[in-house]
Amino acid sequence: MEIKIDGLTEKIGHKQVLQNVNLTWHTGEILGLVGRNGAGKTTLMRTLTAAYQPDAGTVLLDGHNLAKEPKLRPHMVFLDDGNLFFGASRLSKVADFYATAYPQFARERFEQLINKNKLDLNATFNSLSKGNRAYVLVVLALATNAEFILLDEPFDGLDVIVREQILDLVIDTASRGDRTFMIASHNLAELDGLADRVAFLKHGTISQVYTLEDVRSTAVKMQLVFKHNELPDVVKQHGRIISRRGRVLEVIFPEYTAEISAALAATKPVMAEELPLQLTDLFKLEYRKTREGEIADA
Amino acid sequence: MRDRRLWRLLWLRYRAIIGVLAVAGALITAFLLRNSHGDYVLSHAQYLRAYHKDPGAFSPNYHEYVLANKSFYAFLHKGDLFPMANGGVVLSLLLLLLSLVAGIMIANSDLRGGFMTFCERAGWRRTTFYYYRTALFAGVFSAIAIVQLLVLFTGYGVIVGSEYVGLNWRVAILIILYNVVWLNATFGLGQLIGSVFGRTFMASVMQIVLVIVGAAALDRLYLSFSGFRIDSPATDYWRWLVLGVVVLAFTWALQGYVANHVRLEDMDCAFTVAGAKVITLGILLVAIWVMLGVGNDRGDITGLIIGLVLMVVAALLWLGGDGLLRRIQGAK
Repeated sequence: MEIKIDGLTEKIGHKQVLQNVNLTWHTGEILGLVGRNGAGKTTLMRTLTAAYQPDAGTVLLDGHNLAKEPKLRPHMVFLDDGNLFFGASRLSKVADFYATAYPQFARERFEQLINKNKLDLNATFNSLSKGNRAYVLVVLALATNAEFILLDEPFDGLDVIVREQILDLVIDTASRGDRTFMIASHNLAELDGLADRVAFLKHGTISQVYTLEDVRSTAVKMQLVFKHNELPDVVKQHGRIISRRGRVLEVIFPEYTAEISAALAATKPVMAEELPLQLTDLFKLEYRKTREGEIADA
Repeated sequence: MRDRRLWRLLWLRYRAIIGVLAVAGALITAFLLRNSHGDYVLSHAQYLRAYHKDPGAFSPNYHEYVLANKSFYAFLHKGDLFPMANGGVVLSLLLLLLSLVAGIMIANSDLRGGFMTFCERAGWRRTTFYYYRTALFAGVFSAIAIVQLLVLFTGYGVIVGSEYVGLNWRVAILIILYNVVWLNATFGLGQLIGSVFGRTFMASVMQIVLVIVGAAALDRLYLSFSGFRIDSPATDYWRWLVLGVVVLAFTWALQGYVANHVRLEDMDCAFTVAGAKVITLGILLVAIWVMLGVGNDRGDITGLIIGLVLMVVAALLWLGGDGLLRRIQGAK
């Protein structure tokens, strides 16, 4: 299965939140959705899942327009924490809602996962701690057996134990190969080990989509110190500075080759050390204004 | 209307509310029944008995008798909040008010809580959801109205004696029918009011204030009409039924429009959306109309007060809503 987002545009109030968003999303992958605060991540998820009616554009599921064929929508699930009408209900009743709305809902799995975390099915959703609520939402999403699962900041404000529980659930489910996740998160370290691809949302549109393994196979992050303040040409031409503290530079070379390596060695830097390339670095590359005053657009 | 899954979902969601409405309906019925006793009983049949006329006959003089007394049905003086409540068995105004407020609160709560969005995500169109929800509550209010009317008819018969009950079964069905139609129309109106304003707490408060003050203003305006009667089964009941059907059709059509065209997602930002502004303009016009009537009765400033309150509400809605909301949000 495949979801294709084509030219999605959404204006809320007087603000243009999404502008011509294009993205393709395949079964079996974990797609990270990254963007600064207010970039439109939640709006994108809500627009994908019918909470908002887009001003323009389409969401296609295997070529079927979801706006015209709403019966296909249960293939996608989004547990929006702004839409918790069941807050005062017991967990067993919450499960009733989902079991009625989503025909593929696996009640046994839901109860099994709830019991695994020693939660009471007779407890109301609102009576749970923040971490347990987040856990229940993820369990609900998984139990719907929807092929496409959207999670908005699932790790936000959670302790290590709950975070690991949720990570385990996501990884276990994704490893079956028939479930797909879109995870919006500020926790880039968490996404780094989890996402197959990362889409950057910037100025209301998808500015870049990285496949992390591909990026790592070609890009190199270096910590460099030069004798003089003047930057060598090789850095100016091929590198992207993501941090500068005094004379200590952190530079990413998106296409690192033997020639670049040789040219760098020829500048005789005081220090040149290769560092592991993290998702955080790509985020900085995408969003941070560098010391040179340039906008670090990729 | 054959989607059993959606019916089940709606039942899960609303069964507690339906229970509360049933209890409220029962309390209103008990209230009316209790107060339809002794001197307060006013009916065509009683009129006939009082003046030793033939049971079951209709007399045009009945209107005069009605005007001088209190209502059987709503137990309210002619000239109070419910002037149209005079007559033997007319619209259940307390139930109408209940259905209007229920419509507002349910629509607003579903917008705020996200139940409608939940249903849309599960594959139903917004229009479908609107019509199913309307049909569910139309059914609930119809059931309450039918039970209430049957109880009142029976109670009425017991109090005045069955030989004086002037209603035949056709008129009884007509009365039930127009009560059902009007209850559904007011619920639909409530849903519209609950939908076109935003989903903030302030918006909810405004809606309730709007309904209460609006009802008072309409009552005030109504007094200026003359010759209004819902007493004659032969003419008035049919007229009210037809009017109710028109209002009902209008609310259903408007609900379809709101479901398809009003961008409910915008309502987190402001509740002075186009629909609300139209209503606000309407209130302003009503307010001016009410205030124009000041001085009809010596020393009576009710119209002035109602007009001023209406204008304050309208001003809050139109001018203050956005700013107030921004201030509240900014303070968080």
